[in-house]
Amino acid sequence: MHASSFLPRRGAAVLAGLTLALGGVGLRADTPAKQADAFPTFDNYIQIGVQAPSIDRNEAAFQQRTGQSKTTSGGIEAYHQAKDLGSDTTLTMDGRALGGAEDYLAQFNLAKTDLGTFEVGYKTFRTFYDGVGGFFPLDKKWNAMNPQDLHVDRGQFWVKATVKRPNTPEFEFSYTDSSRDGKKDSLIWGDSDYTGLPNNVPPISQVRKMVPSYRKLDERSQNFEATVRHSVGNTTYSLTYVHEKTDDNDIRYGNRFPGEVKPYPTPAATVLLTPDKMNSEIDYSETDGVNSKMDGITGKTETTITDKIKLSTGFGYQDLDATLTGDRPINTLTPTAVGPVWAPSDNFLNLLADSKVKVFSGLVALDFKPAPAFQARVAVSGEDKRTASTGSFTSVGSSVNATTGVVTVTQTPQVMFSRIKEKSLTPEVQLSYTGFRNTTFYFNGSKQLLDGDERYTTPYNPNTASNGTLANNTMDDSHLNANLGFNWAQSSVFNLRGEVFRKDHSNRSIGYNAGLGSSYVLGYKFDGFKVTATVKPLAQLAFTTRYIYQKGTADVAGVQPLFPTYDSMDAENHMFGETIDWNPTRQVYVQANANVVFNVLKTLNGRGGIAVGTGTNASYSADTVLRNSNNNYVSGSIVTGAVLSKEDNLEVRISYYKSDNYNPEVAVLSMPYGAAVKEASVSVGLKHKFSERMIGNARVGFYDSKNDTTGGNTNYHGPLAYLSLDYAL
Amino acid sequence: MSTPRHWTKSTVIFAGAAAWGLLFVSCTVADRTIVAPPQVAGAGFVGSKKCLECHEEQSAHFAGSTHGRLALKDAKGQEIGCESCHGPGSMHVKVGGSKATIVNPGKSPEACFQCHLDKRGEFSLPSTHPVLAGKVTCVDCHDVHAESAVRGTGASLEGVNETCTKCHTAQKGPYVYEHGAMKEGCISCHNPHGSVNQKMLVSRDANLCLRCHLEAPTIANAGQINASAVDVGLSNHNARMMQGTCWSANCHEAPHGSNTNNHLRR
Repeated sequence: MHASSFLPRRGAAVLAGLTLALGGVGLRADTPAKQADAFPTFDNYIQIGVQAPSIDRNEAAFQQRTGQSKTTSGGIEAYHQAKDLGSDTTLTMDGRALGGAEDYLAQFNLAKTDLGTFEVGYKTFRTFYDGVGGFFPLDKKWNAMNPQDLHVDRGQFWVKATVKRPNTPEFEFSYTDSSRDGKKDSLIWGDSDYTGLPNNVPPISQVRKMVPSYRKLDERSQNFEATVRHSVGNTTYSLTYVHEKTDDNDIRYGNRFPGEVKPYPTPAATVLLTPDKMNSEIDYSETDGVNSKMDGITGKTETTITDKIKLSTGFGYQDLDATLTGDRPINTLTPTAVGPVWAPSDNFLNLLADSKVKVFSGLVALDFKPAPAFQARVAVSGEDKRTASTGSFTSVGSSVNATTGVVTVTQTPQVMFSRIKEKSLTPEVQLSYTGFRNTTFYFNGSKQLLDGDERYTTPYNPNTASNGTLANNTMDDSHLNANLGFNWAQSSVFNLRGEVFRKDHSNRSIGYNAGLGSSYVLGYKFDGFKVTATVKPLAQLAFTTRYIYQKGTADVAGVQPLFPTYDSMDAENHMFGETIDWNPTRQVYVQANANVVFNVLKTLNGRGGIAVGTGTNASYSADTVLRNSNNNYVSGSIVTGAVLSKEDNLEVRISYYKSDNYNPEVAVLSMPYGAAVKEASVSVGLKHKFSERMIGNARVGFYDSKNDTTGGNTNYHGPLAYLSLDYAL
Repeated sequence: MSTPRHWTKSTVIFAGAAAWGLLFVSCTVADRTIVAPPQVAGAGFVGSKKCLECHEEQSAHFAGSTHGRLALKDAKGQEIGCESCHGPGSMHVKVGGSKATIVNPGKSPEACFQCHLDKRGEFSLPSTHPVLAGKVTCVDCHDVHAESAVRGTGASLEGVNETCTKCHTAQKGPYVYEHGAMKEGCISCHNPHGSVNQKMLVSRDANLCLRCHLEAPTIANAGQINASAVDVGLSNHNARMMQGTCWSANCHEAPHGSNTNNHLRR
């Protein structure tokens, strides 16, 4: 930018802005404002709309990013109607039906005074996925997933009823049936040799994990809840029974080394081969089934001892029984003299496991007010959780006759078990004080103390062994969470809020008996603060600023004292947010938002050391294998509206997002995953009042997205048009 | 970056005149106030006591709640806790409780963004729950009127992950071999408000796992990236990390828990 030529214009702009703002003071009407030409608000209405995008380049990326369908969609955007059925009964109906976006809602609610409510409804909406894999910059390699219409429909049917009659027990019943169906992408990416890297420079492999994969979801959960609540004297009692049923059958499809097969006979590894011959394709699908039933009961009491003291108690019990099933057929293309043949490898089939979980929990809390301005809560909760799992599966492998291509499959039974017992106690203190003028102080601190015992075996063949590798570990965890803050409402012009927070956790798992020698001790801590200030220099101008700082560290110790504690993480986050609300006149508003984030997560980099070379391997720095993980970004938006006439309002929206955390130069020794995206969108809308019963909306917008992380393969841009009509019923 | 040539003095004057013209036209042609969401045009504050008259259930435990402890007041010192999020309620009271005259944070996140500015930024990131698209709302996960706005924290009968697993049932388990990080909570690895990384991960590369699994090197194995969980470690992961993330195909594919492998490998 040419500063010398810009400055005068910036000065003019600032001057114009100030003039406009000050002008606004004179133009602003007193509160409450007159509203002679106000747009009507509809209590009962139907809104019909249609939307049509015209996107160039990667339409799937547009769908995932915006949550909008690439095709024209439309229908009933919103329907709401409340009808009185007599003097004390109201029927409320809500609906939505957007074809293309596959977004639907139907809800009926019947409410009768001094009796209760009945509600039934169904809703579903669709989320989209682009199914991208990794982009490798050296060879500009991009693995596009085979055409997959990736989306998931999330549906829910529910029935709720409440009976609330004066001076009698209250009853609540609910049944919900939720589902997730469809396909979504997965980050369990497969390998590829199409990277442009030579395969004769060990130990730096040419293989990179960048091949996309996806999951097919077939999930359903049902929940039934019944609650009875009643007050006797100063005590309110409630008892809730829950029955939950889950039936999930998901399949993950993966692909490794697609399009590759080793030649026969396979030459020595150091021979320079073309990527299509470096490895052999492996295809797999993994089915994960969970069929579980959970019964739970929760009881609570709340007793008002005096107007300053309240005692709350609670208990809970859950009993979960889950059947876990699965198969994982993997087939590897194997080179033979008669050509490549598919052979199973590292499979498991017929997984059948049973897992039982029992949880007992309790809570006691005392709320008291020792002084009018001082409020306190002291609480303690406890939990006893026991998990026991046993299971079996068949391990499948094969051998291939390299001359004849005949595949001989071998199957080996495997069994395993695990058992975990955990007990925890969590005391908590909450305090708030409002004794200083216009200022509130608050504190909240809790510390969970957990001890437990874990025992498991690795899978083993029961025909040849009595157990696998056994683990016996004691667990000893401590989780402290605390924050201390204030809210200072100095005046209507200035408000300041601040908070310091700490999270200090340690997890210890120490082996004993068969597990003697195993050890894992993790400690991590986050400290930080947040400050929020609102300044209103003028009645029609407000600045809200928020700054959050967070510093995190972690350390890990393995087998002590041989392997000492090692600082495993050093993370730092600066988050700055600003919102400016400006109403230069009653007929114009401007709202500007901006967020700037600097986030760095460091583990190894900077102290990785030099991996010593050998006769065949060159030395290299481990720092080059893994850089720091930067998650910096800038985002912003401006929305402005103006009254154009008695019947018309204008609205303009602009948004911007940029992240620049991509390091393609690491590709030589690693896989560059960082995010580097630049996006902008702008839309202009017109709201028109046709009559006191009908309002129309028209909007045109334009999207533009550029993604360097995917080598531009997920770029998209294009316009979108939208029309809707609101009609009062 | 360079300033476009067409940004001349004339342009600024023309734009300024157009802005003034717009203001002038809008001020003279219509008697109507418009405001940025989530405000209610033409309404004033009535105080929380007025809200209690009809909404006793929502306000029963509010005083001791996460938001109630802030004790927000207006310029006259009047308690405006409810209206801090629901907007000024005078019109709502005047017409007897119409939904069209009050802000419902259960329908739009704008009320929450007034204070939680950072969350507006996070929800605008590429990987997030579809809050800005209107498919999910803040109150789907947060009990804004309850003692703790973040469920399952502190002294509670609820588990720390229940907010997430009510929708993500497949990740709930149980597992024969559960990842210990699940005890810390889903937010150990995911930021549910949004991330620049796919799947809302707090890191897109192996740093995600090494935060808790990076073990000390020794003099004998300089330059070796040791990663371990419980078993005796010093497992050299250099070559694997060169290829990609820890959770790639044929590596630790079951980050939430496994039913067949205690190293979460499948």
